[in-house]
Amino acid sequence: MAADKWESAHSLLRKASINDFGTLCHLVAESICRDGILDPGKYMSVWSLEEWWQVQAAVTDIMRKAVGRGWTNEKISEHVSSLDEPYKKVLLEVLTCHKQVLRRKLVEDTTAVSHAVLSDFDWKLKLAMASDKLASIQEPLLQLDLDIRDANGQRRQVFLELDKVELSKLITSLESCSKSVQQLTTSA
Amino acid sequence: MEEVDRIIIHSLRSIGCDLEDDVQSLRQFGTEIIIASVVQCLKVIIGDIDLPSTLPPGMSARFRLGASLANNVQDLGYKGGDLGYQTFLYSNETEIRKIFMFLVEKLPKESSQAADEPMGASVLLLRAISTELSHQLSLAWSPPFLKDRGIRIRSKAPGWQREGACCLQHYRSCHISTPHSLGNISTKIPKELSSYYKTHMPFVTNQTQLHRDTAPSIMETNALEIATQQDWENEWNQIGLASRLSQQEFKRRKQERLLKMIKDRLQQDSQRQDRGEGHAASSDLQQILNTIETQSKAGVIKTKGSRFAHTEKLQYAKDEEKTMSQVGLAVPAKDTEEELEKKRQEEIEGLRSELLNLTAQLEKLDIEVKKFSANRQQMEEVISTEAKNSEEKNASYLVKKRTLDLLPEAEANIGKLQSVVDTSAQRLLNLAKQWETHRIPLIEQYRELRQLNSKRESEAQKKLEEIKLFRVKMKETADDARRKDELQKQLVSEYERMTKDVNRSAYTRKILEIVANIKKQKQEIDKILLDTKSVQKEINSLSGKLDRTFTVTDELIFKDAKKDEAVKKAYRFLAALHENFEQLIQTVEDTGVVMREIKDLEEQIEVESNKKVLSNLEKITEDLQQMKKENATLIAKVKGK
Repeated sequence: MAADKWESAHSLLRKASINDFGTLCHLVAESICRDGILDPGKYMSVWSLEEWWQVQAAVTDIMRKAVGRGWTNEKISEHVSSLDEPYKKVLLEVLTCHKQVLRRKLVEDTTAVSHAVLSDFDWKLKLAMASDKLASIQEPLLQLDLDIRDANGQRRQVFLELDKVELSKLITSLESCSKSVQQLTTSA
Repeated sequence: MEEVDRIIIHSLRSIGCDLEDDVQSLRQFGTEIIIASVVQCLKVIIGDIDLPSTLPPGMSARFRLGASLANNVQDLGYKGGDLGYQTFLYSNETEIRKIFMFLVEKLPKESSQAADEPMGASVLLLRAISTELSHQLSLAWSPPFLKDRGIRIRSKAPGWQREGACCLQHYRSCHISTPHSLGNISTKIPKELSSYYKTHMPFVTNQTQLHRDTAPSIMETNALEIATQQDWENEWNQIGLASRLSQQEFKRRKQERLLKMIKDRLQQDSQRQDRGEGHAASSDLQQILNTIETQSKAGVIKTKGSRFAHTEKLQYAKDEEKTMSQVGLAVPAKDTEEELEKKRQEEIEGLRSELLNLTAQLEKLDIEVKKFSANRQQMEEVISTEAKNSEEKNASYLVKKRTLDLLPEAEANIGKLQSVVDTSAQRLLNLAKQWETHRIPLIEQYRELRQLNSKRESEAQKKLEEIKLFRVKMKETADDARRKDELQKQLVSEYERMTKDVNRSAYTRKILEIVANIKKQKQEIDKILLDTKSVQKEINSLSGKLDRTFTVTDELIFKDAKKDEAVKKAYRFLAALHENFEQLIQTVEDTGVVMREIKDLEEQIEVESNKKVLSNLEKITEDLQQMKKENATLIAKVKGK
């Protein structure tokens, strides 16, 4: 199946110059790492939109497979055997450049399999100087914004405002979590 | 006096008097400024006081204001001579200076009280917050479109602030890739990677989807690097150093361990699952077997079923056929139903018997296979035992053959054998000796090496502990340095705050200088006093001497004067001389007194001229005329009514 995709895409790839192909590969690799969307405008002169999608899908696929399954260079070149020799070389170079980053990204994606994953967080420290009842409180408050990603990739934000006691509670529970994880890693 | 003026002007400015920048001394103060600043001082000192801070236009009102000011100042305890409206309205420098000095001393000393408090960090923070808030509150509202991204720049207390919440954004970050190990020339970068860095890698500012995420992303990446570094350092310190491996080795081992552990876990889990599934599968198998059995039994029952069942089946078949025909599919019926049924039955019977035959054959074959395998095992065992036997027999045969070969010349052979045995024993002994000779130094060497090793181990342990100690110390010192840095920052900020106040050190220096000057002057005065005293003494002694010599000469000449006429004349001359000289001394003293008086008068003239009497007088006459006019108009008004 994937091979078919590749077969159909490789004839399209020939349309691009070798330099363009290099930049394209780099761009695709970077977009995989950042969950970004590629701007096809630069390549509109080479491919139509549909072809562009095909090319992009094919390159993404080969990269994911090559890094995810830990293929050697020979295996990769065997997989893309229909591609011309210089193109193959460029692809291999790009893969060696991005191997580590791609691998990390794939591992991250794999570990984030549970139904909601903390993808980012932010905090602000606020000092409540006074309230409607007390003239001077001077109580530090922490606003914690949790950026949570669902299983279907949707982002949800959770805002918490914690005072000192609540914050310490949260921290102790998190610490116990990390301790249990550490025990898991050191018990072996 | 300049110094005093400067202090007064500075403190007047600090309490909020509106003085122009080029005012340097009290001489430049006009009546207006004097009145305004005195009123301001009184407001600060007393608090609630109802006085206009500007000079009223009417003369009588001015007079009243001056009088009330004088009263207030005297109420505060001013004892510097007579004070009245004229002091303020028709000012002279020295009096005004005295009054201001008095008032400045009376000002409440906020700054000194504040300096006595301990200036903790929290106090500083609170103060900073409150000043910032007061700055922000003092500004007027401005519409949002005048503020670029909610930022408003203050000109007064220089700085900026954010206003409104329209331009806030999330602090969101994403991964950013940067070239690695560029700073270190010794590590070699692969060719592909360097070409990627050179030509294809986007700038950091282009790596995020939204430009505003750039700063957070960079900060996060940086923080992540630092955190991993710290984590690693901690681990290395705690576990890594003790393991005595190189860093790479340690990392590799850890990775291996983790991988192995993950594998183990996964295997365990999958095994557990397998077992569960195996149970399920086996039970399933059982079920399947059971169902098959029951099915086959049912089949047997069916075949042996009564006619009723057959008829039933036939009926159903008919029904089916009917429905088929109703649907319109004409099924070709070549044979009759019964024939068909019979044929089918026969076929089934045939097939069944064939199956039974085959299964029976299979079973037989199975049994045979088992038998054969059992036989084979037995045979193999037999073969192995036979082979062993034959080997043994071969060995015994060889020995026996040798002995039999040796038998004919038994004596000689025995002797030979004896000699062989002897030589071999000798050789053994030799070898043992040689071994001993080799062994002893080797053992010694081994012991030495072992000792050395243990020594080295203990040294390494010691060094490890030392390293640990050093690391702890390093951390402590770093912490200490950081704490001291913070303290220094705090103190610097405090110091900056202090210097905004009156320039204390300059003043103390000035005061010390003044004191030193005064001391010098006092010494000079003392010197002069001593001088005058000595002069007076001299004068006294000289006058005493003069008196005495005069009386002596007077007596002598008086005695002789009775006898001689010329001497009488001389006596008269002497008296005249004495009188004349006395008069001369008197005049000298008189001139001294007059000179002193002249000096006094000159000083008085100077003082009086300082008092701006002429201008003040002119002012007074003007004011008087104005007053008269006012009175006249008032009288006219009264009369008009």
